[in-house]
Amino acid sequence: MTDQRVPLPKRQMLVRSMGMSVVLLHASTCFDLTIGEYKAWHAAVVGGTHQTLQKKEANEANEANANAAMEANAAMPMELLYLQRIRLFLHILQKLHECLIAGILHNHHVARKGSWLYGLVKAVKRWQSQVGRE
Amino acid sequence: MAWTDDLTFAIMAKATDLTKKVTFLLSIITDTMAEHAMKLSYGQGKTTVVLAYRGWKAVRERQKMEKQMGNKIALPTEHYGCLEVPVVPYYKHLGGYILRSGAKLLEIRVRQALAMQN
Repeated sequence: MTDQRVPLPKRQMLVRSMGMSVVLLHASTCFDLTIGEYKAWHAAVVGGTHQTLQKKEANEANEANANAAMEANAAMPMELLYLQRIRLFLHILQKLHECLIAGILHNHHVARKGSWLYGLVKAVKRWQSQVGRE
Repeated sequence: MAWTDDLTFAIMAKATDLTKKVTFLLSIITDTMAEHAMKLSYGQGKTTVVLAYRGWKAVRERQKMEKQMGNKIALPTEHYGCLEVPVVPYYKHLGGYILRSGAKLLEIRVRQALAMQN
């Protein structure tokens, strides 16, 4: 990855297959993150983007991170987390396992704003705001 | 929840009844496994218990577990006599860390470190 001669598409492929695949394992099951958890998640995802572009990541503004993500053809941390949640939701819809759905609803009943379902609703709303209701 | 030889049981009870119910469940599991010629190994990184006390008398029950019981559950079994099962703050299941507080910070940091290793 430190070799400057490796072209960008290959670096993207390497980071996605060897780096981001590890970061994203179980990410879809994350409940609504706390500030500390979000900062750690942000660092993990932005770190991957910056590795792709071979950039230093210290003290970069959000705009710079957004530009870097666009350049590396990668998602921003929160969007990535939301996408993972929606992906898991689609899997759940395909299976429609009674116990799993009961567990999700029970978790929402107990944890409310700390529940996975609450995070999923936020993800869907964000998705709607980006691509529209259709 | 089961995946090949990885097995997890979730149990919910009042804080005051939690230890009793977990002990009862573990006794059934251990003896049922024994009847199928399988012996569970109890210890750190093996079969453990994660207890998350919440609500009424939760603090008192947690302190009781930590101070009086030394973070161990005495488990009476039919086939092996009395066993000791450690109570741990977190455990690893299918590569993911599950903390008793439900926090994901450890999981995210471990994932980041593993990704950097690659």
